[in-house]
Amino acid sequence: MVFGATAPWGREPVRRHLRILYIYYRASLMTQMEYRANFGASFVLSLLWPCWIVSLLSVFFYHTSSLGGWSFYEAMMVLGMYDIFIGLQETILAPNLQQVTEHIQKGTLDFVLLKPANGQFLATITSCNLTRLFDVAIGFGLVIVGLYRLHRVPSLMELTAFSVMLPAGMVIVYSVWLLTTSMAFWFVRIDNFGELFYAFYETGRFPVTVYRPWLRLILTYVVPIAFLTTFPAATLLGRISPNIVAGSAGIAAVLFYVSHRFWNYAIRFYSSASS
Amino acid sequence: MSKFLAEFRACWNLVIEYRLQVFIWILTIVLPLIMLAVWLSIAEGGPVAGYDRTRFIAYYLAALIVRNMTGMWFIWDLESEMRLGALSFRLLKPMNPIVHYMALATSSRPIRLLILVPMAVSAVTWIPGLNWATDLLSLLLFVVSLVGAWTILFLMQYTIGLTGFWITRSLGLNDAWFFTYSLTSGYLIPLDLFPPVVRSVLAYLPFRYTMSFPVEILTGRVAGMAIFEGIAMQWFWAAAIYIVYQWVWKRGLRRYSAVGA
Repeated sequence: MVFGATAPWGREPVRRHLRILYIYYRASLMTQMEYRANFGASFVLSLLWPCWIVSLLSVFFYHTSSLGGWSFYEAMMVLGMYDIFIGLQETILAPNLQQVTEHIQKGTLDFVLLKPANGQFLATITSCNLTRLFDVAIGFGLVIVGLYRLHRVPSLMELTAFSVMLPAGMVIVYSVWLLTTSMAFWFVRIDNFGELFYAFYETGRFPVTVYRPWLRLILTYVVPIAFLTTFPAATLLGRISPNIVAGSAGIAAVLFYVSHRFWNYAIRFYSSASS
Repeated sequence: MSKFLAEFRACWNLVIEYRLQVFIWILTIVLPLIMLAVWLSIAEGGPVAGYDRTRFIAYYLAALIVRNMTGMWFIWDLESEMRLGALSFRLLKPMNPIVHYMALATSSRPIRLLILVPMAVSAVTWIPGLNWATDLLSLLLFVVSLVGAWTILFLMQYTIGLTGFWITRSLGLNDAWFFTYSLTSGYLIPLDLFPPVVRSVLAYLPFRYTMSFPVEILTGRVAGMAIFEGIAMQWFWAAAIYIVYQWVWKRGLRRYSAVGA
């Protein structure tokens, strides 16, 4: 197993990798700050999106008072969760996906793997697009507005549960994404498999209870989208069991392990352009 | 025309080579199906503004077809060609680059039809009460309306792409445009279900003619003279956007040759 292995000259792998991450992110930020107009435009766009999506929601609620058992502001919190995850994914995952796929297509992944740090780490989380953090902020905004309008203050327990589920959800997204990316070693033009994942992702905009039972099962246990948006929102609304929280941590751990093993297996099929 | 055909053949060869990719593209158009699922759950308590289960299915299946035949995705190619300078080589050819992009925006349609036609036929056969207007005249008018919708959407996306002469975020502009389109064209929500005030405003925008109008023909929501009026409106909008395109293209080209040569 490569991940977590200590290099001969480094005693503290976690701290060292955090430091590497910091250096990479700082470089990204500095590059992006050079395009200031771009920064502003991203902000305006991020603001536009929730306006549209909330008006979409209003059209549903023009005809009904509940969406799969969720009221308007409750459903808005689910939308907020969706924005948070999309934002995080676009910030720290999507830029890497593009890069790794390119490396594999061109056979230049060697340059990454040769560097003296964990290969999976370097290849899959070191680039970022910080402009999309606006989406995360707006997502949190929607969640908070929802809570405020419902006059609800989450208890300390609920907040703790939420703070377990948010990173767990992120790990789930990362793992599913790593699984699809690893397939690029066999099918070189992989961008499309990622697209398929996005297609499932779209279902996360609405509470999972809206969908038919069979689809609900798939979205909970096969492609665990429910753990990203519906369940964390439900946690803040105080209607979730400890099982679900434990479940989300468990699924995250299992998926992370499986995807990590799969990456290590797939990388053996990598054919370089230089050797 | 012969230039278009030559470009089309080149793009078509790429489509054939990456046919798997096209199939996946078709699968990724899921938003109408998700909206359908949400409406079906609302409609369990009774019809919504006259829309019952079957009518929702009829609507969103039609929307799926229209989206597949008129959706535009070439702006990513256009943006990268402008950014990386490949557009300069295109300008050297004795042909307006728009012809190439028209070919690109047409090339995947035959493969899409290959999947959509069997899907549509089985929907009509197996879903009772679907009530699509399947007589020859309606189908013909449906195809004509698709051509109109294609033209409007193509010119819109191409003009948005050309703003790349001035701004670095033409793709972002396209995103903003897509939100507007998907909400106001009837792609995500049948226009009938908007509050009356909003609906009357939307009737004055070009978006209805790019999605809702063809869907309305197929679902039998519009009939008779109204169809011909709608087609006339499509070409009115296409002409209006064409004028904007001409203006943007001339200005942009002048700027491009000033900066890029």
